[in-house]
Amino acid sequence: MNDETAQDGPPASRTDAGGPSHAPRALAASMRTPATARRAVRAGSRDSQRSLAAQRAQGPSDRGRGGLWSFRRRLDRDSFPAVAVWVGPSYLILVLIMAFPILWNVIESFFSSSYGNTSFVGVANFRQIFGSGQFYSSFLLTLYWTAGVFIGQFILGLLLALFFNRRLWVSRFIRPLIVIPWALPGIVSSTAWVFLYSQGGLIDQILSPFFKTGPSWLADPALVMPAVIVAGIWKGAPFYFLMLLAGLQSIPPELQEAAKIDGANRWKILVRVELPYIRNIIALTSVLGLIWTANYFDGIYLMTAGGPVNDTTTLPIWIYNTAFSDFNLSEASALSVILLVLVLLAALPFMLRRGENAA
Amino acid sequence: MLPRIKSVAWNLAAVAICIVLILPFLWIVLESFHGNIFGSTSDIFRPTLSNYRYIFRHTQVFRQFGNSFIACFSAMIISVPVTAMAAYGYSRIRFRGKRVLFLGLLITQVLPATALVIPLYHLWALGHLFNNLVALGVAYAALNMALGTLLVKNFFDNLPVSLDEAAMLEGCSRWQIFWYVLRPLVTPAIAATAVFVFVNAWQDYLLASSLITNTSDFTVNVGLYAYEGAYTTNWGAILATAVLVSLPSVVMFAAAQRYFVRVVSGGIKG
Repeated sequence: MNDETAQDGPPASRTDAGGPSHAPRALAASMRTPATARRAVRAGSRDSQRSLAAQRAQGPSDRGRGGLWSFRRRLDRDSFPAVAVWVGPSYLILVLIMAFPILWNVIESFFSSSYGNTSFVGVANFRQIFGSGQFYSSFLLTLYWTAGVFIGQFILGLLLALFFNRRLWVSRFIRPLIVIPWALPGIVSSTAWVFLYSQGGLIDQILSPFFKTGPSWLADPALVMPAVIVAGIWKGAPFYFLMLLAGLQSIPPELQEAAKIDGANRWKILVRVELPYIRNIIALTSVLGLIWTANYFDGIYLMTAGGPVNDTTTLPIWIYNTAFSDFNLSEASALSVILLVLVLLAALPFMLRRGENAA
Repeated sequence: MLPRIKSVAWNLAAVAICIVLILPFLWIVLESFHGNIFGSTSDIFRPTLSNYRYIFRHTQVFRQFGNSFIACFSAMIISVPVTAMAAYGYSRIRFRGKRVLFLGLLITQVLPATALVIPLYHLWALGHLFNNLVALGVAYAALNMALGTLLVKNFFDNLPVSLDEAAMLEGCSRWQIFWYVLRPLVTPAIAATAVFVFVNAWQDYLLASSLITNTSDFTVNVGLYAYEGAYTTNWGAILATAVLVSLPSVVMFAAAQRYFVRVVSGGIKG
């Protein structure tokens, strides 16, 4: 143990390994205290390099022996070339397919090409985008779509998770069925919903007591967004169901029992005990869900192609239409840059926190 | 007796909820076996394969299935070894810059394909990669890199380091530890990675539609949308194709869904 702390290189790797914010202070304290105290502090700070189970399995007895330690050191850390063998291939692909094209795209967004002539135009593409009303209406439509789908999916997913968070012998057959909408390719769910919304389709038949002739759901500017939002909720609710159910099942039953003994009703247990207990998984699910929804393309495009007129043209669809039906690749490049910046700004704080927990 | 009735009631309620929930999909499955879609509803009890026979004779669905399989299998074959090795690196080795690299990987999980499609279009133009199904598979592999790495890393993290140490004392190299000691223990995670990469790739419309321009190289998703555009009212053929397109991803996802939460969360506990 003594030589471990001595040999263990820069303390930085220790500090950021511990999740809690008091870790640096604990570390600073450990540098001034004798070895035994250090061991205690070290054991107290969560070392995410190894799981708790792993730490327990090692036990205290095999620590601090020079021979084994040198082995562990060889296992634990490595020089750059050796690391590159392991992590390198995945990063090569990420750089090639993501980082490089994104940077290239940033460059492209400052150029304009027409009829084969490419010329530097500075921020003209961006000025064009921000100058047109379409940006703001697309932005608002994206918010509308994202909020509607997110709220619907979350509530539906939570209700399903609460319902299925009990022992039912049908569960094992039903769970794989309930997740079908999530597993469907976007084109299939869109086709299904276009079919349902079609004139005289299932929805018109169900609603026939209320309407003489059903409205044309996907052609009416006022109805089209709610109609695609319903389809979007349907498609994504199983995601929330699976995540929240896993969260609910991780709650020790004693918690609910204790709350019940204290006289809490079902609603109180949900809001005061269960939801707070699974807040990490709720946060993760919501952030990923929001980002995926805001950028969801198939579910809208394959139903409406952004129409009627531009009534369902969210930002992702605008990019696609700009590039592949207006053939304005320069403006589409600039739009991609904008969307990327928006997404990263929204996701980065959460990702930073998560990186600390998971690395 | 009473608890028994209660339990039956809960189970029935569960079945009812499930049926309502998957009704839109159930409906197109039923209708795809329906000879005359806008005919009488009672016909639905006399299923026929005529729509399926039609699409095999008159559409390119076979060829497009083949194209989709090429792209999805390429994605799978590339991502499985690459993510397993990266997961080992992040789980077992300490190195400078690990935190930054890992954060970069996490960010790729939220990078939307919609913001990537134009950059990829530029890259594909640069490398003359259009209509190349294997190149499309590489793009899928990149988009799913975070998913597989997080899942397998989560499994590695749950294996005790004493395993590695014991193997090392026996004289194993790092490669041998990885291959003979740890890999057999994370096989479920690797299999789940393969499944999820395949399913995600199978679901893609956006990349395939912009990076594939030849009709003969269309994947099933793009082919189906093109068909819908051309034959709007031929619902029998459209629905039968849609059901076929959904089969691989529905079956594979159902088989692997118990790993799904670990895939998404990368092992974050509630």
